[in-house]
Amino acid sequence: MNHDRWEEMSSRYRDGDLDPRQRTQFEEHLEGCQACREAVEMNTFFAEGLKAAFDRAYPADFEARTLARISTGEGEADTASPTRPVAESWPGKAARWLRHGEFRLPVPVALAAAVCLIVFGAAVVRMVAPSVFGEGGRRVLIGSTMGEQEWIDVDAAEVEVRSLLKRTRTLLLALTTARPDEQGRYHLEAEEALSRDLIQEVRLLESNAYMDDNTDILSLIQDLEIILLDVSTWQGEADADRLALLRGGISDRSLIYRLATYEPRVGGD
Amino acid sequence: MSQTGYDISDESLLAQYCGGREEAFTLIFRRYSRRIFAYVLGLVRDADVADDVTQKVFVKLARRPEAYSPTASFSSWLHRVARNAALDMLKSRSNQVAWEELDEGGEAAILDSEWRRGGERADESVSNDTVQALVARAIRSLEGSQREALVLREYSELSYREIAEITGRSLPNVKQDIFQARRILRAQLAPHLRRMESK
Repeated sequence: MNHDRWEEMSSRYRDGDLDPRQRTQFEEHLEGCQACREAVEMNTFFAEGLKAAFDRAYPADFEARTLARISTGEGEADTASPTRPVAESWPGKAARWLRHGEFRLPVPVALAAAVCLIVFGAAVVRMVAPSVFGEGGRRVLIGSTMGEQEWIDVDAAEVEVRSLLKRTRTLLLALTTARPDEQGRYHLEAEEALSRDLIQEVRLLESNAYMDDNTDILSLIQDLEIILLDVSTWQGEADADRLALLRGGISDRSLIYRLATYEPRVGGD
Repeated sequence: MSQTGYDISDESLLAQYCGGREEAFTLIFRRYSRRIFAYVLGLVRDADVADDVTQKVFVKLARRPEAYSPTASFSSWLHRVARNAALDMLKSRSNQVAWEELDEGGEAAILDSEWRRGGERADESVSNDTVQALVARAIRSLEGSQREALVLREYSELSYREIAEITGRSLPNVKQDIFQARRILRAQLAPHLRRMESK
């Protein structure tokens, strides 16, 4: 085995990420490898240094100040953005963004809002601000940067979302119906899909469904995220039990069927 | 309720707080404030800013605990809220950044520039010959995603999966980031440590 591989295992060894067989294998290697023993020791040593450095930076009066601020209501209007906006409906947000005519939000949120507008709410946006649509085409203004207006193509974005659903279905079908001797190949495909940031795209869809207040599809997508993470950590034959659990989980939730039959509410033409 | 509340789940504490038990919030705060502060500090590399952002995260949680939905672990959710708050703050300070750049790579670029800006200042509070200072300096040299993953792993003690959930990166990428971060730290610090040992 290439020594880089052992070095990588030293990191996963510290984090308890090796399965029993790998752990035994690595510990046997450690007995005869000074470099790896040093790596293991130094990883522990640096972790302690990191903790000490950050502990030292924590202000002694932080708890008292923060709890006092909470109890007095100070800073109530100046709080950080939550992960998921819940107080304001998406048509309200869209109207506010369009009224301001200026892009002020994190891009993931804005992209999610844009896709939301496209897939679920183009008709509503037409009512709120008909002037934002481009001439003759299905485009939506999502903001402006340094004087340049930013538009998104409705049809292209809708195709993206549907393509994502299709790829997801294909991947899950392949994994869950493969013969044992084919599982390795499909697992590689799954890893490749993950490396193409499939999870990021799923998250976009999640935000979309969130803003549409579709709790059913939200729950579904979150199941899917967990499953994709399971897939990415699957270790092949050693993880046969895990694959069985994965299959069972998918079957129980009828994930593939529900994704396949999910149709966003059409709001466009 | 026990003195520390460590035998009570986060979700249960939050439910108790929603039900009017104010002390449940204090327990949540004590359980997470150091971790969130360290995480935010790792992102923004400015103790005053980290102080402000972390306060806002907990004020937000106190005001609207119902914003948490139990579809993800409370720990992951709270770290994501903190991440968003830190990035919002950094973006507001980087007003020349085009929105197209604010994808995952763009975020990393902002985090890198903030960290390095901090790195131009001397670590006045820490003596140069301490291990803490050496480690802090070496951490500063890591790429944004490596630094973030390492702090979440070593300080917040989160699993690879939780780190992937928080950062939006794939699990293999998270493992690789942590491995590379440790490798870089070893390469940078081993000579210093050997020199200190030989003295």
